[in-house]
Amino acid sequence: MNAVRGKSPYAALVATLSVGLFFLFFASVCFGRVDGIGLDKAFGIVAHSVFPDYPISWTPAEEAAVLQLRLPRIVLSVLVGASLAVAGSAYQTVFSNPIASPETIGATQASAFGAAAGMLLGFSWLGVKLGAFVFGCAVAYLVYWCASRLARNLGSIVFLVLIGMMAASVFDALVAMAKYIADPEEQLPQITYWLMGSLSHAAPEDVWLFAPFFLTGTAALWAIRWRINLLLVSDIESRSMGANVRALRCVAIVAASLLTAAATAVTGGISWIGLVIPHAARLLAGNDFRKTLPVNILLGSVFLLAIDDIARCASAAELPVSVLTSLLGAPLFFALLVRNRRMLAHEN
Amino acid sequence: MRIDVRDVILGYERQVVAGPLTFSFDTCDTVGLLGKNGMGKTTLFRTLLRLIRPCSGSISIDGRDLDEYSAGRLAQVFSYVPQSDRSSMRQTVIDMVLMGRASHIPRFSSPRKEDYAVACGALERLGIQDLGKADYGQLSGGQRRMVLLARAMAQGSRMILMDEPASNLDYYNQKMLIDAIRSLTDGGSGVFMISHAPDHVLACCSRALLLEGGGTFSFGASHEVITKESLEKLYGVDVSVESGEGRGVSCAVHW
Repeated sequence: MNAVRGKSPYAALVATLSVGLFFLFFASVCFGRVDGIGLDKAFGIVAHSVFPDYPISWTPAEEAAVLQLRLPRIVLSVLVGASLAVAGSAYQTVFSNPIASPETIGATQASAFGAAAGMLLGFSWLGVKLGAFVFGCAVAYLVYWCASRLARNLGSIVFLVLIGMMAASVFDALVAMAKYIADPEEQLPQITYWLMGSLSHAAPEDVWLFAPFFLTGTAALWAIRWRINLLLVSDIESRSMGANVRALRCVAIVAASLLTAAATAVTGGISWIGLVIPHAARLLAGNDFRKTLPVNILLGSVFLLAIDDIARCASAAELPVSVLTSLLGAPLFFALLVRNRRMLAHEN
Repeated sequence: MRIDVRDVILGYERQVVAGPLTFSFDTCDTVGLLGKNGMGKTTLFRTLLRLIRPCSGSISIDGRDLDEYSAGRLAQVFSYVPQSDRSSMRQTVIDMVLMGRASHIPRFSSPRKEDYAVACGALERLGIQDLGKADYGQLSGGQRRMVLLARAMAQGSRMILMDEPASNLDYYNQKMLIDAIRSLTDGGSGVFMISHAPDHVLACCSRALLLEGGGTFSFGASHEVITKESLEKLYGVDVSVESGEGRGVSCAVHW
């Protein structure tokens, strides 16, 4: 029996990713447009904010750069990267479909529209974020509700994907409409820039705003980390095993939508993470959600943090994050598909 | 536990598939279900598993109506072995078998040591314990059926509903399945199996239900229900049936 419970390659994977995240975190604090702050100073500034007795060896300017500009941005990258990856993984499991992602259910597009509408109506930044969040959650749940009404006894997941595609399409069109009627001098650049996703406006308030959503969504998915695997088999099988399929799907979709909507509200639309990272996690850790959840969190954080570092340090002007995730994410996805093709192909 | 099916008309939403059916069995019985395609065999299973409601009539377990059972309690009465498994994300064998423990594992928990023990025990009883860490998707058809059977065994239900357990398998794998089912039933587990092979039903089941369509059905001891005449009437082919003495059961179609 012990033979089937071997855990060491997985433990090594989690340890490696955790260590990697730790080092990348501190490396990110060191680099930036303010002249490189040494690792010792960076560590010191962070330590000082937690332990006020830590000896000071840096200038107030350096401290401000780290605490006000870099740290919120870095922490937000970590949380948002993790959230999007976890949400994508949950959608892929619920839909039993490796192409599912926040974009597939229309949640990202609806969030984008919520934000665009907010900007058109002149809402404050908080109002814009609220709009993004509300639309994202509402549409995700609406899509799920419609699909489950239509497929009542037949339990087909195809309805979810089709209605999700329809919602995505509708909201893409509405966003295009918003851009069309936006004032070209001010509103249009604002909307366009927001749609490309950015962490450059990350303020400490954003971190406090977002953290509860990250914790709630992830905790909910952690609670059902084993049962959610039951959604991978047909409905007749999972229900005959006593699983409450509807409740499971509901919890998973609500949690994933919460994570996606909150992330999109705070950083704009960042695509590809929810699609690529879960695949990489499955390649590394298998198909068991209990194992892939921690890997998604770590891998998603590392990925977005690395990309955001490139976005802010690679050139004088800041590169939009979503552009980078697409340019790097798409080829990575292709490479994973090629590597993974045997695993993905239906074999019956 | 006693299952009473009374005047049940099987169907989906507004479409009637079969019935009215009236018969009773015990969860430790071995029952075979025969009928032409489309005559309602899978519909009966879905109705017993409470995935769909009968258009009319009632099903009761030990006198209590089927609707009064919670999903978890029903999972202790019936488990289900599908014909094939079409999940798009593959798992290891042990993870597949552990799924059967869902009704025993608390809502927000993961499988515990005793669940692993039961799952491994099921694999051992079927002689496939070496497949524990194998990738389910890479197994042969016969091996996969055995894993699905192990999963149903791990569920610990009174009766296992099997949907065409030996279809699409070569003779070697058919024998493997039939032997496994026989050892299960010898051990006291009940089995209700849909089959297109009357000889499998004669080999494993003491009772049989024949769905003849148009509301007619026969239910009784398998060697009485499955005869040359009843099969010729059901399928419209020329068969000969041997019910057992000496060389065992056989059912041969004369093409």
